[in-house]
Amino acid sequence: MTPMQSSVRHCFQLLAAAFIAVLAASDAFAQQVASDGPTLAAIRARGHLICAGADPLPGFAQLDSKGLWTGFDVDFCRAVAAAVFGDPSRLEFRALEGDARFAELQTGDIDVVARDADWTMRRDTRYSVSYVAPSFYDGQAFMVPSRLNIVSAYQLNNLKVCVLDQGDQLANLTDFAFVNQATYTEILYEDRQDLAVAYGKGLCDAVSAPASWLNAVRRTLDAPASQVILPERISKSVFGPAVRQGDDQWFKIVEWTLYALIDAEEAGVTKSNIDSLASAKTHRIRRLLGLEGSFGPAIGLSPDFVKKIVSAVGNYGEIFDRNFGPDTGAGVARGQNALWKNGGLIYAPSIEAGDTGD
Amino acid sequence: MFGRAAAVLVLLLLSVVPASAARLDDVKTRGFLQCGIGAGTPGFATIGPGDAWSGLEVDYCRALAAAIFNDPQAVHFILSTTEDRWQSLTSGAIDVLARPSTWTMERDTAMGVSFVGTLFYDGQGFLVKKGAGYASVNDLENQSVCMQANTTTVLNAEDFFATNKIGYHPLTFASRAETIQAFLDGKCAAYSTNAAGLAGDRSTFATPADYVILPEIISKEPLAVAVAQGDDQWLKVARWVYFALLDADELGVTQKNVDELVGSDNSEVKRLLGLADEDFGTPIGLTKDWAYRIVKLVGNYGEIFDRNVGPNSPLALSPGLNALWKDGGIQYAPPIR
Repeated sequence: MTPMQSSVRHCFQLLAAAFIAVLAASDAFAQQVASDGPTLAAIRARGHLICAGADPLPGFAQLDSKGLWTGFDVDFCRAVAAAVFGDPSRLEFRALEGDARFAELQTGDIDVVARDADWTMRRDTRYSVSYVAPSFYDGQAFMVPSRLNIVSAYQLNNLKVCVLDQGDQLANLTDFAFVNQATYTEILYEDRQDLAVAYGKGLCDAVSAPASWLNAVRRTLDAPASQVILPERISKSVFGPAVRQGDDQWFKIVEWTLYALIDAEEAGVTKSNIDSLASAKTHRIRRLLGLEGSFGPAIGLSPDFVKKIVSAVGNYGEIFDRNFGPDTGAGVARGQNALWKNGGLIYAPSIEAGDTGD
Repeated sequence: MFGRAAAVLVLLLLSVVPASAARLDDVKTRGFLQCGIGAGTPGFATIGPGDAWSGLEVDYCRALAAAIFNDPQAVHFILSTTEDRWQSLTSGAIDVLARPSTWTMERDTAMGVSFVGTLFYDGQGFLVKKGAGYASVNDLENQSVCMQANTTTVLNAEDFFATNKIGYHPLTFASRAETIQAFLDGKCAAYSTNAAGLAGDRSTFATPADYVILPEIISKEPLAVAVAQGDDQWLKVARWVYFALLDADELGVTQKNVDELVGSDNSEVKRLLGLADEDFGTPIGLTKDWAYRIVKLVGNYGEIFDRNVGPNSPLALSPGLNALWKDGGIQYAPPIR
């Protein structure tokens, strides 16, 4: 954050605090506070959401020519801001790296991590944070120059492979070589920017890393179209938003923001058609639009929170296409991130009641 | 803004302080788990000779008990009804609700509970009599469909038939038993509820082979386990027991081969079985061999599925969405690492 932004934010906090002091005298506001958990109350008092994502990574979080953050992670943050405020711009996005992001969740410096470190048992159980639900499935893959005419990871042999010397990536690579009786010369890098530069300079024949990251690197190379990400995945990893432990209401706000994005895609509700669906007759669409049942208020949101989200950022598929689709110049297939009914793994419970059935 | 160094220090301090541990401590002190189940749902919870419960939801609770007590029998099964199940959780009368309940927004946000994970991905289907000429839902044009009144089943059917412009006659009955009886009496061409429920009910008919479930599934019904909200440690114990069942299945670790795999070089298998350097169980109040206990004493997810509801069980359900993600289904768990 720049000093300018910081001082603006500080002034805003002082104003907000003064505003609350006045309002707190009224019974109506006391009730409102009582229904907001600590995180939601702090966000409302501050006037905007603080949401973190990947440190700058094309497709997930990048600064555009106007100095604004865009990307898959940013869009999820905008969706949460829309759910809370009805306004996706009431957001301060921060790109964080390393497990420092979890420390800032714990201290309350940030309200939610949109999607960054993959969901593992260690992270889910030892840092006083909770993963909410899967939002992006990934796996370690290989990228090679297309001039090598390699179409499958099983063809890789006697090659120099660049890989990060950290986490499980090197272990996954050596396991894969061992199982397939292939020989690689591994060239290790501590830093992923260095790894990308090395591959760009042709210091290795192939690079192995999570497919989402390979796609981001490919966009930064001189001729993205002359690079191939091979179809095999040699590990599984799943990413999703994470929140500070101990505030169930906030956990559920983030959870149902994600589920709303997914349910909207499944029901065919898009940013462009949502206004024309007001006369829809199916129960499912009427529930999504807040015209039947009332699902947001139980967690401090408005009955039409899904409409606010989708009107602002679109549904899950629209967010995916905006950031990874063919128009981005580096198309990524939906693959595992397609809806469950289209062969992928993206799934959400429904925005509905339970009634008396099971 | 908080300095990064200070923030990291806080991270380290918080890391060693266990989360509030009320429920897990209570369960350990009591010496057994109190598990809420549904009454007599074939494949999910049925009682056999010697009052022995069996079924998918029963086995989930046995896995949880195995992880905590190294004893899958350290469970008291408590019948919960559709009406009292949420209150049983929030009052503390049960520690976990395994009775299959569709995970919906209202239940997740307004009942004081949190969902743990989807034990069985289900959806609404239609049961018809074989040889009656119904091969798909399209063939039910102008026919009667028996359903239980005041359920989401009725609303889903309305949506489906309206969207697909198929005329039909809904016939609703107050109870499930009355609904089934009406169908068996020939009052309807089809009986509609969740597919697992159809298969379970069919297994109780005099001649199950005379009935078939149509291929169309018209809704999504994730049948999930739930706990009372407000206890993160307990939620994570319950959730990682579910994940361990899936991870074991994915790694090919079964009740039969688990002891042979103790010498495995596979680092994922070693972490699952508590044989790696890192201890994943103790930080959530379990033991290092917590997942070994689950597989050894109860089996992995696929084994539990096959035993209770799979193709060779009386329910004869194909895995479908409940296959692992790598086998065409959507059952998926984050890794133990």
